Amino acid sequence: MSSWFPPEASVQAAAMDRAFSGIWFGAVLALVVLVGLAVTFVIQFRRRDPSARGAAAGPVDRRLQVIWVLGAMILAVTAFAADLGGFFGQTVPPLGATEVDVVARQDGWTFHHPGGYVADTLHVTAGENVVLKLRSDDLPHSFTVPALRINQGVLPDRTTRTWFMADRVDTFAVRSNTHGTAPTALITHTPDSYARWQDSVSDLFATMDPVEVGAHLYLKLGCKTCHSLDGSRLTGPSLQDVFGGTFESRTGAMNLVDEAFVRESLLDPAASVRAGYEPVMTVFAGRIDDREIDAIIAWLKTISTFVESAADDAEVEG
Amino acid sequence: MTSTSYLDSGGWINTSDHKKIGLMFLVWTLGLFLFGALLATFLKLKIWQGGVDLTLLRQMQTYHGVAMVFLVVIPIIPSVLGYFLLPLQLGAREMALPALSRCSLRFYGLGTVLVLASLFTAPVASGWTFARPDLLGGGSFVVLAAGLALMALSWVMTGLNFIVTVHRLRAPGLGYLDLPVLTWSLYLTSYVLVVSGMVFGGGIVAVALASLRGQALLGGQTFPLLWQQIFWFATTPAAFFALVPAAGVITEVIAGMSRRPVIGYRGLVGSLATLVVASFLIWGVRLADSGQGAMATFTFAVLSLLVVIPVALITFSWLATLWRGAVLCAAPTTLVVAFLVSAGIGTVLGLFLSNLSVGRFLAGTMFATAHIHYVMLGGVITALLAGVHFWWPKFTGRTYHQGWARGSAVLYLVGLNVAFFPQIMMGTRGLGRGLVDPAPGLEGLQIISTVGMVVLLLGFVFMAFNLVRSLVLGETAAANPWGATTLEWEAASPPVAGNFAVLPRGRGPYEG
Repeated sequence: MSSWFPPEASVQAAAMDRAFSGIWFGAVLALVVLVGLAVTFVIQFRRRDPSARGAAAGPVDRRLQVIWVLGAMILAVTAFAADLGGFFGQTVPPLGATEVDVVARQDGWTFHHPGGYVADTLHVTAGENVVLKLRSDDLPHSFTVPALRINQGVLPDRTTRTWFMADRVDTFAVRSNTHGTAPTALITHTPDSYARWQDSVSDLFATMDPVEVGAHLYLKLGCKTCHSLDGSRLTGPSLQDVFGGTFESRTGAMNLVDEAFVRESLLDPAASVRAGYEPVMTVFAGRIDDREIDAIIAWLKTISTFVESAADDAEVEG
Repeated sequence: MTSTSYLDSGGWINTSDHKKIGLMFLVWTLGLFLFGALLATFLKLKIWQGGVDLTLLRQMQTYHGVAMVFLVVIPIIPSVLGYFLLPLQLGAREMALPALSRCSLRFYGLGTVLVLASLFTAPVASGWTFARPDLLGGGSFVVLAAGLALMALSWVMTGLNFIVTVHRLRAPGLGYLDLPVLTWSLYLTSYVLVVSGMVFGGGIVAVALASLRGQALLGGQTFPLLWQQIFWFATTPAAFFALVPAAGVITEVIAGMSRRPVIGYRGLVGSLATLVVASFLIWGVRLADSGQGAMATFTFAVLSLLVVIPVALITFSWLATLWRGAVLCAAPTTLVVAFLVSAGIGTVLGLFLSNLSVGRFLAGTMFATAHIHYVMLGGVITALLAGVHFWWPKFTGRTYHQGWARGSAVLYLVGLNVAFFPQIMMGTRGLGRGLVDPAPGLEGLQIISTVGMVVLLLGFVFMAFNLVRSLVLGETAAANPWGATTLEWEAASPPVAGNFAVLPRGRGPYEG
């Protein structure tokens, strides 16, 4: 059924395509029989004499009726049951599969890969079983990869799962059936190229200055999911004008957001939580190193007017 | 009893004559159908020209869906053919509750005005299922929801009126198993209209109130699918199973055009009743790709198999009635064939969606869009057109040009398939439902589909023009031009104000 679907890229896709082909054959047969008989009868029994009447009502031919109904049932039950194993297989991920946490938002996707590698595209090794744990941070979306025949709903505050094993190295389009959700991509690697991708993700400092790395980490680590940059309230406080400012914690203490505080917030976020917010922030201890924390601090300084005004004051005093 | 035609008797504005109410519903619903079809065609042409603004796209899709499903597909057969024909088929002079008929029309009218008014303020862009609370559009959604709630009340009134009329106003000697199949289908659909109307009307008001309170989702984050469950519970029986009254219409047309009693009458009526019951059990089939649990999806899919036996029995009866009939090859027959082709495709597309593996992939794609259009347009609207052509002489006392009617019916069928078959192929390629950014290689299908839409619209306009033309140029129709046998054909064409000069006595179904 290559003319109907994109080329298959998984074992599941091949099984689904076979089921589709079987149903297609039955559906065309049923339609041809129904419409063919109706058109034949209209022509064969057309009214030649304006006063002609059809045959009087007679008993229903039970034998033909049973055959007709049985034929329809066989078609429908076969269509229903084709690749039923594939459906249930899809609901039970294989043991030992690689798990990727996926967060959908209207403005993009965040994929939390094993080992703390976070990206806005999904990276896996071809031939490896991958389980996706999906949730939405705003509205219902769907995670749809036509080549893998995956179409999984993604809901707010509920984790849905799907799994797959891509059978070749390639880049596949990932869409959502919801308007306005940014598209993304599934990139399948060889083990070597996957390792190279990990290196490229982790060694950001080779190509960027610390401020750029900080901005990149904000996206890559999924900070944007909970912290806006425009002052608007999300799950967590906005990062606009946060560095250099002070705030009241849930315990009533006043805290200054300096370098030490940012470091503590990333490694042990529960230590001090701003009043009015829940202690739900992800712990980044073990997931980012000192150099990356410094980069985040450097970037936070660039988006805070407190830092600019402090610098201005210093200039005036100087 | 007066011998004046109902068309020349009394006014229209305050009338409670069921026939005039049916005709007013015909003009109103077909006008809205044209509005919805023009929206879709305009949208397709904009896409063809090189894209369309995303907000405008969402708004047009929303109003296309709302107009077609809630203002046209759900009410059209009961409101048009039901109001006109039910008392006539029962051998009665009026509906049991004439004031309620008038009220139903007025609620419908006011409802459509509010729905359209919301279009001219800040159009809602959340899609016709209102599954995107962020795009409801604030105040204008409240206006739209009020319009839809009035619409739902209109369904409830129509349903109650039909039920009481069938219970109380059957001609002497007309038992339940003597009722024509159309009357049975309308009677059964009345229960759907009452239940779905109340659930949908209540639900949409709740969503409007929630949006006024600033609540993002009805049911909050705890029950994110609550609204979708309510929505599909109400609309699956009312919209998708609008095929039940459509089957009633097709049965009458087949029996009338072949001058033969319906073969397998009891099985057919039992099948329609089974379909109505089943329609309330399978709403979750529409939620296969929503994140609903696998066992729920499996259970709904198994339950959906309940519809297979009734559908098989109904189609068997149709074929058995045509067999050895004296089939008149006129426009209603052409439209019956058009119905069998397009509703047949809609039904077999349902087979793909019922498969859990294939269906889960296709559910969110243009494949599902094609399915909806084949069922609602190819099934319900085609049946309505067949019915209008069949009963037009009874409605107006005029005959229309057969060549024009058959030609425009063929054009309509060709356009319908050229418009929607490409969507099946776009769906299998993974193009999302209602999306307009076809993946590379699908642009050609999008263009073919657009051309089909224009052809479909032309077929519909020619058909309407031919019927309107008959009012001026058509020959006077005989009381029973097809030689059909149900009681409405004993009335004059057009009927007198009280339907019958002498009330007929009941007789077995299709005994002429």
